[in-house]
Amino acid sequence: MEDPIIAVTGVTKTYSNGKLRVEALKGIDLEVARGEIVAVMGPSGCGKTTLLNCLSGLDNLDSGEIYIEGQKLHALSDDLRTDYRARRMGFVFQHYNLLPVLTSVENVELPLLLSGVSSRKARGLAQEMLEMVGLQDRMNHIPAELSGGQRQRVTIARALINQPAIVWADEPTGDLDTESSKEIMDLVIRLNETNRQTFMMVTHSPDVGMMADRIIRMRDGVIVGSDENKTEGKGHRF
Amino acid sequence: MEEIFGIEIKTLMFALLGVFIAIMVSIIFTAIRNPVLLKLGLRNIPRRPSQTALIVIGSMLSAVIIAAAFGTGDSIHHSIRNVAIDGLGNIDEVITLSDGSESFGSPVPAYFPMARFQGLKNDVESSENIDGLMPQVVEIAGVTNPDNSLFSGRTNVVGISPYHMDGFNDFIRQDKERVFLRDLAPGEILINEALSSELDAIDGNTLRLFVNDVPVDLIIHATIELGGFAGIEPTIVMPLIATQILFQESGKINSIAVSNTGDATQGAEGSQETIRELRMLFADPSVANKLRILLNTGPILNVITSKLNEKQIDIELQTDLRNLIVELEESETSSELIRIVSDENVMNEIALGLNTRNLYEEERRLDVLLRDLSDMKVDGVKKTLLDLANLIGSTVTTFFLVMGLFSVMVGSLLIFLIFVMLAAARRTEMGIFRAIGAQRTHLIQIFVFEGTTYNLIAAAVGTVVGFLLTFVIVKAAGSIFGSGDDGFSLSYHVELSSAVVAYCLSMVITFATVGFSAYRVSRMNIIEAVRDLPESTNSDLSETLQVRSIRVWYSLIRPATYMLRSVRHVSHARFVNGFLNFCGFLLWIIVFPIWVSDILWAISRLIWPFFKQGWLMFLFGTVLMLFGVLIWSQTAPFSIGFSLMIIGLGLVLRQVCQYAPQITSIFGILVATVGISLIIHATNGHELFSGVIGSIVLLVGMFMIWPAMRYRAHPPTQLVDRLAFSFIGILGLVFWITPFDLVEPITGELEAEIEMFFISGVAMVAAAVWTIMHNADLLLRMVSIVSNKIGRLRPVILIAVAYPLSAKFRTGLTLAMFSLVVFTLVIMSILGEAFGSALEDSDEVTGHWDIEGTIASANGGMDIGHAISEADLISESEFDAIGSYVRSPVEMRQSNAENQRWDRFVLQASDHGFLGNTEHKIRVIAKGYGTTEDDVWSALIQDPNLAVIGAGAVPDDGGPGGGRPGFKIEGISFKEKSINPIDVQVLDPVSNKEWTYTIIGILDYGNDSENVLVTSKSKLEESFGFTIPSTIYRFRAVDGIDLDSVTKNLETTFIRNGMETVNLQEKVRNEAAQSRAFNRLFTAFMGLGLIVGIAALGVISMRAVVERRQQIGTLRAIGYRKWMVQWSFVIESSFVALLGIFIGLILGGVTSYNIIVSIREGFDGIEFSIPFVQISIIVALAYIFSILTTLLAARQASEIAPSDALRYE
Repeated sequence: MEDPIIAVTGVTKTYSNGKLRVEALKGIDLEVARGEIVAVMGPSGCGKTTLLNCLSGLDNLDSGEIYIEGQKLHALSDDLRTDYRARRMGFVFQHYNLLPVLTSVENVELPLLLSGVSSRKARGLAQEMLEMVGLQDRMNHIPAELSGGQRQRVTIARALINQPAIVWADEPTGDLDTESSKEIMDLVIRLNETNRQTFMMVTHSPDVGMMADRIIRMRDGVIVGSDENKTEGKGHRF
Repeated sequence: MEEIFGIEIKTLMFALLGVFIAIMVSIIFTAIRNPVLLKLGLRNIPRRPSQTALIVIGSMLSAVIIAAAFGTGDSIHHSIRNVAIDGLGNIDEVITLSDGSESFGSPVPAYFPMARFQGLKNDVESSENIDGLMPQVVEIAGVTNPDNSLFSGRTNVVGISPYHMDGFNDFIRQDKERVFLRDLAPGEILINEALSSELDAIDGNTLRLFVNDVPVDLIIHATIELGGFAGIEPTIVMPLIATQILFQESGKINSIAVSNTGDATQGAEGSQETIRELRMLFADPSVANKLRILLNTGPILNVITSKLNEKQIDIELQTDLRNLIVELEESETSSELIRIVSDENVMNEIALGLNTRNLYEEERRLDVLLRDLSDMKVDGVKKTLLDLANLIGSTVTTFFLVMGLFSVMVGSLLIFLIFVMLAAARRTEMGIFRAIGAQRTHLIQIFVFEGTTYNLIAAAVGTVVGFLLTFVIVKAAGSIFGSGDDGFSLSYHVELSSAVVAYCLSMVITFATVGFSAYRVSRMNIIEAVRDLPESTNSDLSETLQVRSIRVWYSLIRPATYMLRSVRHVSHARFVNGFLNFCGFLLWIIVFPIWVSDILWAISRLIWPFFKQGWLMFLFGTVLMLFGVLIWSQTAPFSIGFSLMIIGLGLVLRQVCQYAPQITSIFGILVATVGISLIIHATNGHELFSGVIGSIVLLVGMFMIWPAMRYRAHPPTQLVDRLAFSFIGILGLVFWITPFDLVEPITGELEAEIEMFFISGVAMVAAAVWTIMHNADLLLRMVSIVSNKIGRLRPVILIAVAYPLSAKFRTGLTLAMFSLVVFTLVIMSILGEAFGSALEDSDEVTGHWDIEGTIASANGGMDIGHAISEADLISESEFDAIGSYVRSPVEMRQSNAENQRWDRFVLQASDHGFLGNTEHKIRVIAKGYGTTEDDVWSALIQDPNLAVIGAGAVPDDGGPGGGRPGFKIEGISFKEKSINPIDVQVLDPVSNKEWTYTIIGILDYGNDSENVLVTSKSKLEESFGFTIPSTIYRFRAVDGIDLDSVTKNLETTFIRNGMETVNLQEKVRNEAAQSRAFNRLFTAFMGLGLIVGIAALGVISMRAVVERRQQIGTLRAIGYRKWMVQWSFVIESSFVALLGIFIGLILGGVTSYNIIVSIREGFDGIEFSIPFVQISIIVALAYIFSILTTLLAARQASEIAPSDALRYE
């Protein structure tokens, strides 16, 4: 693969709580191209979320190397890695993980503020982004006042506000019904096509998987398969 | 200590023990019935040891405060009791002559023939109450040690008979050997350890005693231990005959000491009986007969009969009054009647009754006869001291308890907060528990089991810590006040009963808080809890009126239901359940308060929804307010009632505004009109306070008009809530902040006790916190605007402020805790500073005199000016002024006043030197007597019929001393700029002479003449026909002179006159320093509440780390650095702590200002000033420790790995 945005070789990760030792990742090799939507699938406990956490720099590795945009992420200090996440990465979580005390627009503008963007500019961009995800009339609502689908759209808006190179999504439709899941995935694909951003999603849903460019299958901490999506176009399987 | 709040400690102890046992029995009973719930409750305790430790620390504060209050009271009680028991030894009563014992300054009793002693000895020979009588001569004289020139100006000289020592302790030498008076050779004396130490004298030394200016040398036979006849002040003991010769009173004595049967302690217990017996012996039967006739008259008999029905009359007094009525029906004067009329308590009560019913003539006649009843006076000296010990101990405990109530309240809030947070943490699991069939009572039980376990430990640890704190307080107070010249020293002592009361009381308070918290927790919505959805408003109306009514009926027959269940279980052979239900029946019946609480709880649940609607609360508040004003004349019910009215009105407005904002706007116009009126009133009278209050009320009124202008109908709920709750909070705050003087013209004068300080503090803080929390979004918006330019810290600040403001209840509680504690500390500091500064102005206090010399009156008739001119050590040029006076207790009443009762006061007969030179400030001058203080003092010199009176005679109108007992002038107030001259009658109880004086001025507060009528000597000397000797000399030294050396030289010069001198400037400074030091000690005690506030922030932060773990992970994922997480927590705690400190500072400052303005009306020297250093230290300590407690949690939060945090659910 030419100029992969994510390049991983021999990544291992073991969890231990003193009594129990779990090898979550057993030598992962992987490459993801820029603008690609990749779905990581596999049974519970196979290491999908751990892989995502390691790749995004949220978790440390035991061994192996990860290059993001050619940068050796795990060689950076915690502060630099955090800054890198703030500038170049976006996150979407299954349980939305919005800050319950902030409104939609405040949640969305947060990454920009953390990157040092001025308040006025951040607010404008956040409003634009919320309009883009169809929540222009829910900007001043706190998460408790939104439906699951709306919350996830706010999460996506937050993930994309700083124009990240990569968006990491852990079960983005896990808490949603079929209709909301389709809406979210359509949104992801639309944004991917517009902005050429790389999406790496962990999912259990075959329908979501079928909408990705590629499905990586995992079992017991290793990648057991990587299937290219041969369908006519993204999003058609829902 | 024997009593607190008028309740015997033992009664209180058994009552609290009973409640404690009842609570524990109920809990054990419930635990046996539901062991699973017990297990569920207790399993949480070991899970988080640090949290458990924090909860125990927070919960133990009530016990610490209560134990420290009781411990301090015990120590003071014990210390005074020690003085009584050790100092007096076996002397229980002292008999002196009624007449002449206090004649114009003579500190020693008058003499009477020894034959009176012999007669008494024969009379009490067969008495079971008395085991010893001692004839005494007690005098005061100056003594010096010629070997080293050390001197003691006022030494007690006690002459006793070596042949009447039966019943009294022998004298013990320092080497513990006994020494007998009969072994003394002529010219030999015994001295006590105090005198030995003061004169640095040892056995065999010669001391020189000055009697009427004549030196007499005496040899020390032995130095004896303090106590008994040796006393605790510097004392010489010598044989009676030698003393009689020395003082030229052969064959006479001036007092008889009485020892009651038993040792020093047992003797005091029988004092009441002995006093009665002796008074009966001394009573004149013919006067007693006249008293019988007087008491038998209709109006007096009516008073006696009505006294029987008064609740505050104790049983003993009631019995005496009942017996008196029976005796009065007889035609003869029986010995029982003599006994009763000789009893001071009974006669005082009747005199008081006559006075209350305006029967002044009858009161006067009774008074005259009682004076003639006996020529001898029996003083229960030991009993008086022991009663004083109890009174002071109880007063100190009450004071500490009342002032500590803030901390107890704050402690209870913390417990409540902890349980609210524990419930929040376990919400989902409790929801599931409820979903699978658990009752609400089961949840309550789980929490009560857990809470009670914490409490059992916390109360025990708290009691121990409280007693350790007592030790610190006693040591600190001991070092502040030192060991006085009177031999009094503070020693640590704690009674077991106090430990039991402290433990049980704190346990009961905490249990009640836990019970309430558990009840609140149990009211959750199952679905919301299971799905972890935000809490919606829980409507109590979901339970119908019918159900709630049935609950009331059910609570009334609860014991019967237990009994029926018991019978049913037994009939089905379920004996354990039958037994447990029978226990429940017994518990409800035997511990009756449980049943009463049960019924009251059911009734409160029945009416609570109507209270929440507002109208019932408004009605209840109105009734309470009217009762407070019209029936009870008490500030507390009036103020609480008015506050409830405001809350009720706010809640009604809330309902009305939702549907018809126009009606609210009409009300708003009314409120605004009140505000405008206040502003106009303020502008006319230049009253800033009214202006500020008026502006606030106007703003509230305008705010209420807003919804109608903006919306025709159905304004948004958020706006309506803001309107209603702000109305309640702001007007409530305005009401409580308003000085009561402004309300008094409407309500009339209402009584207020010290508890109003606590109630008003809590109410003000609650209103302020309520207002802030219901407008939290505005505050957040403000922070958002302010933080706009801060850059990358902006999101940190925004989030840090958003979290506490979104958890309104939790933050409100913590704010209230902080504010309450800071509020009390600020008030203590400001008032302490104000009084300290006022007391420190020595010229104001002493009338600009520098030295005071006190002498025995026997030596008083000297020409001090002449004596100084002839002295070697001092000269006239060292003094700018010299004055003298003598004080004597008198009885006074105001001519032409409604109340014609004679009340106690002190008459100060002054020489012209004093009147012409004193600079005591005169607060109010009578019309026609000039405009300056000099005019008044000159008038007193010129006209001996004139007088000025101390501020203590002004009735209570906010002045610091007005509430004290004693003579009061009717119809005057410090608010008046000038008064008309007032005539008073003065009666000398010794000579029965009566004079009339015209009062032309009232002295200011804060000096040494508060309860004194100051006049010239001339009128009295003319009346008596001889020169009245002065006993107190005042000296004003020239500027720049060494006061200490002049003070010492004066004492040396006048040693023959037995003069004891004091440097007044130094004395005032020391007293002010003592006052400040004690204030600081007490402020530190009050500051204990801060620990709770700080602990609360710690608990919240620790809880927040757990609650927000996943959110911390998200923040870290999207770019939050570690330091940002840490700062977020620190800023959050800072925000709460600083806001709480701010509220406390403002409210404390305003309240202190109001108090000082109110006191200043009668106390010129007192000024409002802020002790910035002390308050800065308080604020800094509160803030720093809050942040330190938070740092631990903040660090913990920042160290969480993002991936771990995100995985957490």
